[in-house]
This record gives sequence, structure tokens and C-alpha cells, in this order.
Amino acid sequence: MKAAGIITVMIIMVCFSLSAFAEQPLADRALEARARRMMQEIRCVVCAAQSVADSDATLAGDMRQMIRDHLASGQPEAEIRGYLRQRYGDGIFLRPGLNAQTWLLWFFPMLILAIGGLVIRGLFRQKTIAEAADD
Amino acid sequence: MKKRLFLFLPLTVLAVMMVLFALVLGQGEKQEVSVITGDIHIDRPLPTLSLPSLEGAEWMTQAALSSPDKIVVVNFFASWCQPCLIEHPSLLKLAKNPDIRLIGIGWRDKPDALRQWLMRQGNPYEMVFVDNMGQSSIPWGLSGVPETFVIDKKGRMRGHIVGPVTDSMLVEALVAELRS
Repeated sequence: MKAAGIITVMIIMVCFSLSAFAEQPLADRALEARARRMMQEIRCVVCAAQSVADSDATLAGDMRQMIRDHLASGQPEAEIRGYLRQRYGDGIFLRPGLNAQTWLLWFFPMLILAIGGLVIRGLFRQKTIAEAADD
Repeated sequence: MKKRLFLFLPLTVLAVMMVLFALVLGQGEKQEVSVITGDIHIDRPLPTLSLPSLEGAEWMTQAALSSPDKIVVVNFFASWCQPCLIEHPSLLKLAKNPDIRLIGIGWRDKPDALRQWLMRQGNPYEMVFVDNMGQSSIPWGLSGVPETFVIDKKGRMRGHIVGPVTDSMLVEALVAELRS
């Protein structure tokens, strides 16, 4: 019984200590929702495959805090994106905007798909012609 | 014959891609200082951020980061950072260059740990500032340590090295170019 009491106290203490490290969401729910949406768009510079919303890296935590602070101070989202782009380039966004540096990134898959489609169409056409000639 | 041409089309596209990427990558190598420049930091004004010095007597301001007669090299480091040990001999070499003012920023580190580390490894810096909370990370565009920035006499960023400075000659070449 005594042991159970000690364990309970320990669990409560651990929970309290963890809550001290937890990030504080914004009191304004709508603003917090906007902040979280932005966090999903920003790439973590430490673990590049993750957004700052998903990353446990300290720097990702700094970015989450920065987004919350800037939104809470009334800064428009476009300005926050511009601030990050100026410091980290287009690579900071998981969906980089279309511009002179990124157009190839956006259109290359479509180009490859179109070329692949043409190749397959050509092969089928040749096969059909060959079969017709055999008949 | 036509069928063969169609089969070669994906290979041709791949070859074009390879040539395109090689050209883009080659562009960087052609520029004399692009190994350490050529990124978004170049020509950007310095962030306005104040940090205490390791000795606590001074604060890092934009004025501390610009020098009318020297090129300022700002190096972010930490006592817990292993790659910082790799670059340290290069920094000790850079410190001997009279045209360079080498400034260190201890990133996410405690003053005591920084002092001990600098005593052990040797202190190449003219001044050391402490950023124990990492508040300089985003304003400077850091992705970790070590990272190094070269600042010209007008106080603008002209060079950026992500990772250890393993070749002090690269920085010295850029410094010589900026001085001239």
C-alpha cells in the first residue's frame, strides 16, 4: 500500500516536470490553429523530411515559438513566411512557391509524365501496326 | 527504327537532366568564392540582436560586428559540438591573419563550459559572445553549429559556411577579395 502511494507521487511529479517543458499554445484558439497550420508548412532545418510541427529538434521548437510570437504580435502570415525565406531560402517551405528558382521542381514531374505517356503511346501504336501487318 | 528512338527517349531525358544538374553545380565551382558563398545569406544586412560577452562586460551589437579596417568573421560554436573540434585548428590559423577580426558566438552553451573549452583548445577569438538560449538561431538563419559568416567593412554578410571550416585558405581567399 505504501509502495503504491510512493509510485503515485512519483508519477505525479514526473507529469508536473514534463508539463514544465511543454510548449504553451496561444490562448486565442483561432490564432493557435493558424500557427499550427503554418508549422505544418515549414520544413525543419535539422531533420529535413519533417515539418517543424512534427519535429522534436530544438531548432524546430524555436521556430514554433517564433511563429506563435509573430502571429500573436499581429504580423501577417505572408510577412512571417518572407522573414523565414530571407533567412533559409525557399527550401524552408515543404511546398515552395512557384518562382524562377523553383519552376523546374514544379513542372519536371509533369514533363517526365508527359514524355512517359508519349513513349507508351508510341510503343502501343507500333505494336498495333505490327499486329495489323501480320494479320 | 522509330521504336528504338522511342526507347532511347527516357535515356535522353536522363542525360539532359544529368547535364543540366552538372551545369548548375559547376556554376558554383566556377565562382572563386562560391564554396562558401552563393547562398541566400549573401548581401543580407546583419540581424539586430544583442548578446552578452563571455566576460559579461560588453554586448554584441551590430557595431561590434563591423570593423572599418578588418573583415569580420563570425563563428558559431559550442563546447558540446564535435565538428567544432575539427574546425578549431583552422580557426587558430585564421586568428593569425591581421586582416581578420574573428568573433565567436557560443551557441546553446553555458559560459563556464565555453570558458573551459576555450582554455583547453585555445582561444582564437578576439571576442566571444554567449547565446545560451539559442535566440540568434533564426535571425542568423542557423541550422546548427558550427556555422561561420564573413562580414565586409560595410557590415553586410558576404560569406557563409555551414559545417566546419576545414580549410582556412578558403576564408582567407574571400577576405583578401573583400579587402581589395
